[in-house]
Amino acid sequence: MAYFSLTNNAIAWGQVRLRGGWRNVIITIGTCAVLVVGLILLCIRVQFAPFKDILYGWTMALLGVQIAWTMLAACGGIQSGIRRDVDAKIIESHRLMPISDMAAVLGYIVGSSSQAMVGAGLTLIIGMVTATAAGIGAINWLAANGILLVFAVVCSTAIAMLSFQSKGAFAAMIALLSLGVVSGGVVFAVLPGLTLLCAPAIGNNIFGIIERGIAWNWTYLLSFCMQFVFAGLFFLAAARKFRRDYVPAFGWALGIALLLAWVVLSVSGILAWPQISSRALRGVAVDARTQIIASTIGTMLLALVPISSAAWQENNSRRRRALRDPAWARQPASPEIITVLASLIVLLVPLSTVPRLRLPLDGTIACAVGLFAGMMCVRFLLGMLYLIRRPTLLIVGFWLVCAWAGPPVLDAIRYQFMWERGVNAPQVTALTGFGPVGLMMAVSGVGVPSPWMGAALQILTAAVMSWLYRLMCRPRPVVAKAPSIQL
Amino acid sequence: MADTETSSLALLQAERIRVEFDSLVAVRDASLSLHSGELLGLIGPNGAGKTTLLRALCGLQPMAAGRVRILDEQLTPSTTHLMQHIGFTPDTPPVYEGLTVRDYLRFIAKAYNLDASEVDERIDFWLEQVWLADKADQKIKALSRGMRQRIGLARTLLPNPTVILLDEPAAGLDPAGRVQFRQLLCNLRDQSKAIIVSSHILADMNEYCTHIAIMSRGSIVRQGTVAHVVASGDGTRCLYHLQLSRPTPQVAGLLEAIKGIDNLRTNRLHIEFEYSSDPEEAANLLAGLIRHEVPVSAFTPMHPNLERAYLQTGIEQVD
Repeated sequence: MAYFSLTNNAIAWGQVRLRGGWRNVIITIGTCAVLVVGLILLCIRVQFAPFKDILYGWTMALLGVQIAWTMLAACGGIQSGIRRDVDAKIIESHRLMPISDMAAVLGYIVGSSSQAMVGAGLTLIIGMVTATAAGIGAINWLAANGILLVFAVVCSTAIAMLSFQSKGAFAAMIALLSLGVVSGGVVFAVLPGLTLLCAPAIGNNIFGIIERGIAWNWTYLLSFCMQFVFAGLFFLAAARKFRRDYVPAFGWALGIALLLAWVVLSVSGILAWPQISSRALRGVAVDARTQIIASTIGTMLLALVPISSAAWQENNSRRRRALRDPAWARQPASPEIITVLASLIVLLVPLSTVPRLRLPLDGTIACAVGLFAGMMCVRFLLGMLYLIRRPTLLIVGFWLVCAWAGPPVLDAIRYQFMWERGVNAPQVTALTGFGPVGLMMAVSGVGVPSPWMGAALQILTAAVMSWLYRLMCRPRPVVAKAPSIQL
Repeated sequence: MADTETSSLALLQAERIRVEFDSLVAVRDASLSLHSGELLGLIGPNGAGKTTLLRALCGLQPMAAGRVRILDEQLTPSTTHLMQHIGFTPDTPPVYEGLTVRDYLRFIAKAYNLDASEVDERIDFWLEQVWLADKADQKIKALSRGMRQRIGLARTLLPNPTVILLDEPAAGLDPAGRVQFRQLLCNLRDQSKAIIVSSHILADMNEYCTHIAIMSRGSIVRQGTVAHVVASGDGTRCLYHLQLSRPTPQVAGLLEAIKGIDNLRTNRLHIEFEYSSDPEEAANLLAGLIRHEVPVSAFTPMHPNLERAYLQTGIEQVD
């Protein structure tokens, strides 16, 4: 329990002290609460609308305030708390302390968001009073707040994890959530897993819950479970980053767990789409095939997390062995095995969501083989980049655009070109299957002819990449450099 | 240290530490071990790898290879319990500027799980030791660089670590502070701590260090007790000081002509040069000077010191 000690958590204590201590927190938030209550009483006194309507309006507004406290103030506070310590290098002083990684991250989350949490607590109480007085029912108010709070936990852990490695974590989260809104919910519609993760947007959404009440069903239970799983994974990754900022946040094991969690989320989201689709999205027509393809592509990208981590670990281990490191203990997990495992997990998305296999069995096998080989190409590319210490993200991004997205995009351009000239050409040719994305589209029911051709191309590319990688890994004679002064 | 190894347990042992920054090898296969009561002075030019080595020893710097053992247990990211035995003060200690000195040290005490009933007493003691007792309730942001450095020292010493690593701790201190700091180090050494201090102030290190390690381009090129390192500069050579009773311009030319004399420096009545350390050869030289009617009023062989030993290594500044 010392790992999660809150009562004696030095980091949390420090973060609260830096915000002026509890006295300052209570005075600031108390002033805000008094102002809000004063405004509510003023509105009631002025009587510009019926009493219940005023309080109904205030309850909705207070839910907006709750979103601001839990999503903006809390997450913003966590990012600023962590970044201040990272930028001022005081985090190095914390790393020297005999406190566990998890206790430190918990301290950052709780201590940095203390002000926002006190604010949210007071808003919860005020809102409960207004909701009851407005005849909405405290249970609706509590349900909406509960859903919001669980989602805030996921966001807080994600922000904590990202803040250890980037200054733009909070901005990225806001951008991602805004993208969902700006795109009219299309992002959520094509990735049902994301909708399931964003519980406040499920079904009637939290504002609708206050208005119409909540229809509890299994999707909420699943969503809560998955949110806690994701929060746990982000929390563990943040703890890794707190202690060692030079290692990938997700080691291969955590990466595989993240991938599995995402697959469960995506598959459940696709299958339960009618129950979880937001009320606001019911006018948006998205077919299941698009959801399957988008979710599969998302899963393929996520599969790069454990693969990349395994490749990094192998390279690190190889270097240590070459240097005859006395601390080198054991062989790391084979990146090839991790790649095969990750590819198998990716395949679960189309295989468990496509109503019945549109491809004959041998076609499906060809696509699976093509996917393994395509993933293996990235594994060797990552291995080479880690070996020569070149900017990994940029080059892998370029590879993904060319080798993964290239063939289907080129095929689409070809079709468009022919169509504009009035030529009756097939919409999809074997070209689409020349990349792993196209092969996954084939498994998802897009009629890609001769997938074995694409699979063969992927195998050939993987073989070449493997040969290049082995060539680069060949041990070179290590010449010990003499010290500058001979003793 | 290798030459004074006893059967007692080494508090700190580093084995073939190697730190790389891309293609630059910042620390190359550095090994050392430190027993209780030993105070190792780490010296070397800027960029030699002293700070990186200290950071690696306390686990802050990722190593390409190597192993650090504290109290005979290997230091890894998961051995957080070992961290209570290590104290490290960087050259510019990071602190929470928004807190008062006392609050900051309370925060440190909380992190090290110190007994709440004695925290304030310990804070007062260490603030007294680093001469900050009157600044306890001031915000850190209002304090000077030297004072922050003292807070860094108090932060390191408050949990009473066994192994203490100090990176240029005297750099920001005023002359009086340096004298007090020397005394503090001697006290810690006498309390059987194992201490490493990196510094450029060699005259100070001569006084309080029991051991010296000289670093150059990432490697420890010489290490041992202070006496051993000083003597190993070049045992066959010695620096002599010649004092004249009246200015004699031709002496410089005369000395330059004598085989075996190097690094000649003249300043009116004072002349310094390097010559054989053999007393008989030195006596012959003196007799020759008197024969040439050089007005010698004093002829003194200078005792070797750390500064000289360091300069004799010929280590160049790294750009």
